[in-house]
Amino acid sequence: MSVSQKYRTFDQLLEDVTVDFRTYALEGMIEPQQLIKVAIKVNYDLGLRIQRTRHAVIEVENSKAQLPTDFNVLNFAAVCGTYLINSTVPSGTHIDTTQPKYVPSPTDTGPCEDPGCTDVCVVQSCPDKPFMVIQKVGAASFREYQYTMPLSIKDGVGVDCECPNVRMQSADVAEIKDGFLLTNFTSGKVYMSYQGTMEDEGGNLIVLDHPYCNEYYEYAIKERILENMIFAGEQVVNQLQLVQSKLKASRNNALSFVNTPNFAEYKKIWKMNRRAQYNNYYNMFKSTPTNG
Amino acid sequence: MTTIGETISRLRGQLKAEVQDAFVTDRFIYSLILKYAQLYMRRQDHSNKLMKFNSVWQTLPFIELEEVDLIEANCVGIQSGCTIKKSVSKLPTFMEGYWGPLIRTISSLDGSVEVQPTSPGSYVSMTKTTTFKYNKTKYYWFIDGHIYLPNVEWDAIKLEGVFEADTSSWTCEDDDDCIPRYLQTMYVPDFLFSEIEAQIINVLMNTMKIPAEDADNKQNINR
Repeated sequence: MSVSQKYRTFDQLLEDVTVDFRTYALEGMIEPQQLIKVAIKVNYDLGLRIQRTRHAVIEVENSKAQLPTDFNVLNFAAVCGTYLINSTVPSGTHIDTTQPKYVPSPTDTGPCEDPGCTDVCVVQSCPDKPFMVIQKVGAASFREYQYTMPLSIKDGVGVDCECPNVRMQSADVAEIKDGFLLTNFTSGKVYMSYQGTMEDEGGNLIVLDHPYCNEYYEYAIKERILENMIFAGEQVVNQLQLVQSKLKASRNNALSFVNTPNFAEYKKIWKMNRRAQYNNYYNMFKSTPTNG
Repeated sequence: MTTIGETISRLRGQLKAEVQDAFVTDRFIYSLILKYAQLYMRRQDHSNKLMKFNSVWQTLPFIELEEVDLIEANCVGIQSGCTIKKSVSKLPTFMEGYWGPLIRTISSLDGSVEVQPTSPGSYVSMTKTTTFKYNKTKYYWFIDGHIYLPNVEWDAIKLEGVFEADTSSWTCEDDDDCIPRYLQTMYVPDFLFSEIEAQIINVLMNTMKIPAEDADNKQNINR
């Protein structure tokens, strides 16, 4: 789960550093190419939790499907079954003179509104209904995948260590290799939830935008600038020492922030703990096979 | 900022060389001023104290660009798909700083996008790195009086620099073309003049062999 939904581009981060190091910037001491790798390293240091969770439905043809361009690590995947197409017919402007209260239908099985859903998302219409995959295919229509089938995925590069598909037993097997999903079935559609690379739609490198993490990014970049200046023969040893001490503190703050579970995660852990304790003390023979 | 004429006149006054008998021409004095100005501006540039003096930087608001091939740009290592633009005319001579010609900024005409300095070799190395796809910075390099810019679509650029040569034909102002050279501004920081003038006087004292005042002349205040 991502810790934040706010990101900014590397260029914006560099502008922040340039404002602080105005004199060095004027002297041409700030070279962006030398600093991109620092931002990438800090992204890696902060871990998978800062990356955005993305969803996609990819089409398998000839036992092969191209992974999304921003694919980094797979969370889970499933083979999609048949789908319904829901369309909304465009109409003119309506002016309502009354404001009736919204009363949902008791048999309503439509997807719940998900404002964060941009392309593909998983929704549960009601708590007692199964999850379903929704894929938007236009301004006014979307595909509704009513059911999904399990997919076993071979462990390897690009698969998260907690991915449930690795331990899954299924007739459909797939493997992630060289930017493609190779399957044992010829054609179909596969839904996948994955951690995207730290890139925006325009292919720009993005970094987390949070006060704690911003400090870490900025001090890491400042440290590299000063290091490069020392190699260029400038006398900035004192400044470097100051920045290094600040960098250490800001790194600790950023890592603490990123690795602290949020309320939903704490609740999930609490539930798991309750269930485990219940099975330990009240239902201890449930997993033991009964004879006869 | 003082003009070239004022600077030369001030030095002549200090040298007592106002008359033609001194055999010291204005061009000679100006060449000495430039020689020592180069030296001290290079020193200032090295200690990172020159870029902030806005008064010394001249702006060339419109430098036209044309597309050239990779070989002309000394950049054959770049893979295909790269276009390189070059300044059509040779730029006026720059003052040299510690790191090369004194150029503060090169940007698009509206100043919204600044361009970073590099060299052809460094640019080729950069393009071969895996992280270059994230690098949206525009670069330039300066070779033989021309500016080269890879991967830009612009037809012209704006430049801020310190020039040794006359830039009146680059300023887009017709009135500037009629200003004689001695009335043009001397783009050297004022605080450097005391050192520059001291050096020049020191040199010219030996060249001109100005005789020392004898005892009688020193006593006669009406001489």
